[in-house]
Amino acid sequence: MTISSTLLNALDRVFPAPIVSAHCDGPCGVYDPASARIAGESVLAMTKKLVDLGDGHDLATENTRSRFIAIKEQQAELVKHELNILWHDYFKPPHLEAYPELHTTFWNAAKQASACKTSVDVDAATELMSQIEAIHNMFWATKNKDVAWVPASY
Amino acid sequence: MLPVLEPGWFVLFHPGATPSIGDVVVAVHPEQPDLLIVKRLAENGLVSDNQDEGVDFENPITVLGPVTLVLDEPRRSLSPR
Repeated sequence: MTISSTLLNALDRVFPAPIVSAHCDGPCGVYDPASARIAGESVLAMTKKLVDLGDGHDLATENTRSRFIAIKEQQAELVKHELNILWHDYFKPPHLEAYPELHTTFWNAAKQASACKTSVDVDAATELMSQIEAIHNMFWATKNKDVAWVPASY
Repeated sequence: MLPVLEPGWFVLFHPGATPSIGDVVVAVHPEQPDLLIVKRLAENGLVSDNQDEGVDFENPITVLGPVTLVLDEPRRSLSPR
C-alpha cells in the first residue's frame, strides 16, 4: 500500500466518496429469441408426431405416446422460461415505449405455450410459433438488425 | 472497467462538463436511479471496457460528467487499451 492510497483511504473514512459501479447486471448479456424458437419447434414437432401416432393402445404405442407427451410438456415449459428471460431481463422500459404491445405479446405467447400443453393441436402449436416469431421480430428491431426468421425443422 | 480502472480505486469526475465520445464517464444506472456507474461513452450509449464481465447500456442515459483523474494512479491514462 502506497502513502497516497493510505491518505486516500483515511480521507475516504472522514469524507466518504460515493461508490460508482462498473458491473450492474448479470455478466453475460447474451440474449437471442432462437432459444424460444427451438423449444417452440419441438412443441410443434411433438404435436404433429402425436397426431400421426394415431389411437393405438398396444404397449409400444403407449410408450411412444408417453414419451412424445413428456417432451411436448417439457419443451412448452422451456418456451415459457426462455420468453421470460427475454421479457424481464432483456427488454427495458425504453423498449416498452417503442413497442406498447410488448407485455401483451409476451403474455399471449406464454398463454399459448400453456394451451399447447393442455391440447394436442397442431394449429395451437403453429400459432405459438407465430407468436414467438413476433417476439423475434420485436427483439431484432430493438437492435436495428434485420435477422431472418428461419425455423430449423420445417 | 478493467484494465483502466481497478475495483476500489478512487476517481474524480467533473460534474456538468460535456464528455466526448470515448471518455470514461460517471452516469446514472438507467433502471436504478440510486446507482452511479462508471463506463465508457459511445455513440449510442455506454460500453464496458471489460467485455467479459461488464454490461453495456443503450441510450437514453443520464451522464453526470467525465472522469478527469484516477487518484490511485494519477498518471494513469484513461484511453482504451
